[in-house]
Amino acid sequence: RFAQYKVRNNVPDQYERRRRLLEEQKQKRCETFNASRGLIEELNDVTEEHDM
Amino acid sequence: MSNFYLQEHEVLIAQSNQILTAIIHGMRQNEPSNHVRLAATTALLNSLEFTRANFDKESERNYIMEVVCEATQSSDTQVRVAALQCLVKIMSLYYQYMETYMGQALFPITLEAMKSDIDEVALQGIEFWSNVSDEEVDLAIEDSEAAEAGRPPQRTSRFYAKGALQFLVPVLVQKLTKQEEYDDEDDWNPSKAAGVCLMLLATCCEDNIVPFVLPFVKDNIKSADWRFRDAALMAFGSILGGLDVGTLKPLVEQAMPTLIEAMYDTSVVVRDTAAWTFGRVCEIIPDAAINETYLKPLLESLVAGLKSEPRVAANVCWAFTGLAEASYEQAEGNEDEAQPDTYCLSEYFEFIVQRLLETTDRPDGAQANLRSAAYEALMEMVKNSPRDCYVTVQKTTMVILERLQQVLQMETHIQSHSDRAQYNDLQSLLCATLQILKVFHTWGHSHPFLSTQSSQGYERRYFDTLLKCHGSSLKMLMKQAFCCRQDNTVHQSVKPQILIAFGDIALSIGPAFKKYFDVVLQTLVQASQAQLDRQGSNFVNTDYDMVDYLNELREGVLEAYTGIVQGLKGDGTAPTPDIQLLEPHVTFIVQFITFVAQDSDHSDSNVAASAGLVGDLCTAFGAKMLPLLDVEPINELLSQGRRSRASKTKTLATWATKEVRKLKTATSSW
Repeated sequence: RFAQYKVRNNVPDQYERRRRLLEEQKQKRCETFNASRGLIEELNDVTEEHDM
Repeated sequence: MSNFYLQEHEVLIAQSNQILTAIIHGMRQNEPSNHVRLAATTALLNSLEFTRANFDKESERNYIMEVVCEATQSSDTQVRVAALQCLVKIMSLYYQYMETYMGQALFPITLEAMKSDIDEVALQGIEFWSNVSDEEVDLAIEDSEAAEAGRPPQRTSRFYAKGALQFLVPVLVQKLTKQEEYDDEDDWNPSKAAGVCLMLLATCCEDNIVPFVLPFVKDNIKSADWRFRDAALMAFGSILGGLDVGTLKPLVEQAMPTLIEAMYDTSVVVRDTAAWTFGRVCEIIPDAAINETYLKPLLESLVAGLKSEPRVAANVCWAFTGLAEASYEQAEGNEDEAQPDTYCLSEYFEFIVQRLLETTDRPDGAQANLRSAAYEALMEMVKNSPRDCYVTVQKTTMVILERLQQVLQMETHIQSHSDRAQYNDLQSLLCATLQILKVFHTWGHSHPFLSTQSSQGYERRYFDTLLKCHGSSLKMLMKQAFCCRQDNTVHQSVKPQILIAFGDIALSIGPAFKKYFDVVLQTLVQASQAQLDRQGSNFVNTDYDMVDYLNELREGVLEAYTGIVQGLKGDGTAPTPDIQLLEPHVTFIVQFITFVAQDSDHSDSNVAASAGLVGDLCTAFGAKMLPLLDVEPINELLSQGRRSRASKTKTLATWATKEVRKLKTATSSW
């Protein structure tokens, strides 16, 4: 309960914040690399198929 | 160990009847010794998980409940508290059986406990209803999942919380007014528990709670007594999360002037709660705060709050975090995830950032997690900034990098815990810097500022500072990576990121990276070779964390090489001459990829990053790569990648295979 007092919902613990940040950076880096390889559209199609 | 636990568990279940009989006997009203009664009640508390069979039988359940309820009326506080703890636990474990007892016993007992002046007793009464709320929220989720699946739910809610609201809320709001003036953050008391309970009740009962809470808020928000003003704010802030947007928005809009006023209250407790409430508003219903009428006075009050006591300022930082995020989302032109040109915070951006930077520098920044909160807010401001704030972002980056350098110089002088705590802030700084780098990178391709002569000079200075910082810290960070794995104060995930950052820099500055090429390549070679240590006698194959960590580190090295290859190669169809700088290192890079390929513990991400780098080497160096890349371990790696379940790995491996084939075709046609 203590952790719920004056809780700041969008600020999880430091480990979780770092994990999310790194994941976000990794995703952006991946997009940048693949843009230069001409693979962005191909990967988008794959993601869309996967989402469906 | 787990077998032992299971066996023990089974024995307890088998013996539970005899144990329970003895416990209940000791708990009875006519037990003369309170010591025995307390021991028995505590024993029951610790046995409840094993007594499901007894609770399944109505007569036994009735008897247990009767004895527990009797014990809650003991004149001995400890026995009373332990018995109430039993009720809290029973409610969670055996909710479905509680209907018979709720109206007659549980409700009056716990309501009376909540009202008690004895804190331990009141805390258990409040905890009972917090638990009921938690349980009924879970049941509501189960119910909707069952409805979606077209089946009846296994358990159903009896909506006890909703039914009891009218009796619970008046007691809870009264408890809210019993704050400690000089509160110790680590203390738990009925006032804090009441705040949490209200929040949980609002989540559980949603809009139904409003008619019971709102009159209290209205009657007390302007009270002459700070305790009542604070309780009113706390009640308001606590229920926000449970309400429907339609109910919430007009409510918050109406309250905005009063909330802003509360930021200037004479009481630090009230200002703290007001700042926290703004944090909640910015997170839950930002539209109510980000509008023409209230934005400016709100920002003024928040900036003033940054100079307040650390606990208030930390909550203000959190509010800025939410504001930045929500403002960016609201900005026009953000629909396609493109960088918007401007947003509602633009005209205040530099001022806010300056004040946040000053906050990170406060001598009392270690209190209430203020320094981290301020860096967090800065990071969010930068991350969520539109194009017209670019110059301020650049300036901020320089300041952060300079500070980073200063902090790094402290490392050798760390002696006290406080020094170490300050040093640990370095991690936040690094993350913030890395985040800013990504913003630079995103803009690098499209932003007109980057093409001007003056900004190139600025950018060079920026990277000079960055490299200086990282250059001096790298040895230390790598040392920490391999030698200080046990040191929990340094998070391992930072270390591969340092390597990746070099790739990011190379990718961002292209030819300008040449100046730093040698020192960075040397570092990457060291990082690659250090991984060979896992073959040594100290490495145990079952050390899975170490395997994961090494894979992450390898990914960092692979991505750093990728950034360098792509950065030096340039964006054009033909590689720039700068790529030749890398040629003497290509053999080593391929050896590294081969090493990764041959390790049976490599991860799918390693395969993807290796495949990407193989393809990039093909496009950068052409036919001369063929003898190095068209070899069994790399072909096997690409083949594994093509079979991967992860579509990204599959696509990259297929692309790299095609790039190798292109070289083959070109060579054979000669």
